[in-house]
Amino acid sequence: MFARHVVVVEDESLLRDLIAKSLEAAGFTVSTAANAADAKRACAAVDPDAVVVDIELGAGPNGFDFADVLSRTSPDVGIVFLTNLPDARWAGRDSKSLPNNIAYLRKSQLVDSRDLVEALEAVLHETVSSEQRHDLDGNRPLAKLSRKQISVLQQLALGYSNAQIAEKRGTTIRAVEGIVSRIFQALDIDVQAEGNARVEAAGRYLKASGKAIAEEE
Amino acid sequence: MIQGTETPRALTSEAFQNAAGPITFRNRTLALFAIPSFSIVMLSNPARLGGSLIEWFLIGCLAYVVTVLVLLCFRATVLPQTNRKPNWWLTVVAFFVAGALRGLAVWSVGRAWGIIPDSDLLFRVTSGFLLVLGGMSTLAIYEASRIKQEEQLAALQLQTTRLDELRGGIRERIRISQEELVEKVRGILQPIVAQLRTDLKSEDAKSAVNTIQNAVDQLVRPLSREMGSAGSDFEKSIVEGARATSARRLKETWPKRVQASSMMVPALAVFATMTTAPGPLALYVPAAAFLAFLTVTVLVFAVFQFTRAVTAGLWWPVWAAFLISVAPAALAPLLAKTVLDALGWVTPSANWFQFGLVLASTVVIAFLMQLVRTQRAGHEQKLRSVVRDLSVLNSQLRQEVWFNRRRTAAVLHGPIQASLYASAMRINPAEKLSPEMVEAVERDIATALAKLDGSNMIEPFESVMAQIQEVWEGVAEVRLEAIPVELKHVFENNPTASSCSLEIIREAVSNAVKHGKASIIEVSIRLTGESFLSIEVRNNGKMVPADKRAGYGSEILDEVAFEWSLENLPAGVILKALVAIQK
Repeated sequence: MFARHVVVVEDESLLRDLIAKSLEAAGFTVSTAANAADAKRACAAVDPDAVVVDIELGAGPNGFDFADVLSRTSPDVGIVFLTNLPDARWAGRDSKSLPNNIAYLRKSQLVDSRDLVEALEAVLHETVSSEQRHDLDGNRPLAKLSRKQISVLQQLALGYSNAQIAEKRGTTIRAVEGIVSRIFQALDIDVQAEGNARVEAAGRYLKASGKAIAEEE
Repeated sequence: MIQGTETPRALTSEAFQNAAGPITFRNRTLALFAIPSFSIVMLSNPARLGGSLIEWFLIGCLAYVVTVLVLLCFRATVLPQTNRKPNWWLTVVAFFVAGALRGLAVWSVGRAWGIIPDSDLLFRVTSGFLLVLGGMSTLAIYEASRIKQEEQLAALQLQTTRLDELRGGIRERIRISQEELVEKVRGILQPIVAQLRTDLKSEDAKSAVNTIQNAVDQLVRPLSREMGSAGSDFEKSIVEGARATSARRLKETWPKRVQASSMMVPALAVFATMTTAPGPLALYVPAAAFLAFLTVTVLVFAVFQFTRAVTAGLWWPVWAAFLISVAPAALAPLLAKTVLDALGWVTPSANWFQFGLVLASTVVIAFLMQLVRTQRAGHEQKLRSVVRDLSVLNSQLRQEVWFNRRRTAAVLHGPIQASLYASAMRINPAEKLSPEMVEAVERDIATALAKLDGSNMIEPFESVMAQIQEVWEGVAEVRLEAIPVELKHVFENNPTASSCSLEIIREAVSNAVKHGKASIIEVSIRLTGESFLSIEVRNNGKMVPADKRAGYGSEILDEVAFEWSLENLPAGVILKALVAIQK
């Protein structure tokens, strides 16, 4: 069997080398890249079968940007996201906007390198299962919220008032009040209880975004 | 011509609303009323009716005390001083009762002392009412203006204090919070490492993997929360600090030059005429009192308007503007007397002298009121600029918090987390831990810990920009307008501004391709004044539907940009953003 070629795009060198070694051990030929521009060059050079890409890749274009470019220039290359972000909404994207036939693995859920190999095989054979889409897992943080709600929750956590959020979103205060109260409902925050519901909601956001913040590089 | 702060137009309706409000019944307004109250009694009566100055002084005291007592009764009952709405009719009733009783008291005592004739009763009662109405209203209008000015000053003072505090403390506080954060990471990491070493000694691979996985959760979650809330705590502490700062007296800056035309308030002069002229005219020309009154009122208004028209648009030193404003108060009675004499309605000169003084004092009050309002307008202007400075600083603060969070994440979390994941993945396939594995894991953790003290590498603006251009090549052409040298210096000295600008450009380019299917994207960056970088990202893609603008990467833009907008062009879309620069 011919070795399939994979480009690993990860800004953290230790993890990059480890993933590369695991994939080589599983029979893949591997090239590595530390940022999106390197990755593009590597792809042009080797025309890989698949890429394993982190979403947060430093100050330049992120993994989603790279995937967008790749799916336009080489739509037949399989994509496996390997990231700390609970889902695409945390990078301001809609999960539905991701290319079809991708795997999305959260680093914290991945201990066994065989899971990564399986995900790669799945994108190569277009047999991605729900187990390889951690971004759609119902147990991920703040899974109940819509993208719009996450965005409003983020502004709330930044300390903006309903009026300021309304101004920023180009909507009415009443509309924002509606969104905020639905967020409280979705998060089971008791608005009658002692303490400030907004503070509680902001706390939940910050806690859930922990991994997002951790990876916001 | 040297110009000063524009004096706001005096709004008659607002002025009279104030006169019917609680300010009218304040002690200060009542005390100030002593001036017109005594002047009116002392100025014309001795000349017209005889009697000694002491007798008229005592009558003046009585008149003032009666007026104030009646007004105090109203204040204690139906017109409280608390925050109430203006009450027109009750205020006029209060003025009428106070003025009528004042007139009655003056007439009774004066008649008993033989210095006021019986026939003066009606004159005393009506002119008493008109004096209280005119005097108290004018004073209340002035007072309201003064109080608003003080409130404005207090607000300005608070904002200025906040601004100073922010200016002085912003970098220092961020540095401290950063150091505290690093300490916390160490605190969280040490016991985890110790536990890991124990697990490694027991040679149990599964338990070591569990420990490592727990470590990641323990490390990331609480720390991220701290970092996220650091910003809001920081801002809160600044606000509280500013509030607690004792009131530092703000230097009152009086306007240097004013427009005399704006300092005159003809409506108040007419009001003074309406409250002062009817009494004497009814007394001396009873047959033609109404016509004479109309003539005087029109003349007064005309003289004031004429003076305003002649001096319109000219700026004067305050003293000159004052003399110009007072001039019509002298001219108008002179002219009125001449015209009335010519029409055969002869009245004593003393009355016109008294009228002139009342008019002059009204003009002085109006002048002071307008002067205070000019000062207030100046402060408002200053306040607006302070508020703008504050919002720029707030934006810088948000940038700093964002940037620090990112930098901390890059240094603290990236390598540490990566080493822990790497360790877990390395150990997992093994049943038992080998000494080499233990050594490798220990080495990874030690390397990661060492990175805690490492410096933060910031990638240069141009190299990241080149990455953006390279990545999108083949899909869209990203053109960057040449960056001027001074802008390069800004980026070198200001990593926060550089990172924030890059984030805005990255987001804009990504959105232009993704949502707009753009093929050409032009990026330009300019320095705008001392405090801002202005970024424009223009693309030839599809227009953005009005209802979608909020969703287009707005979260990140809200955080790092001072302000931003997305506009449709005839062919394409332009994103404009301002990034605040730390001075």
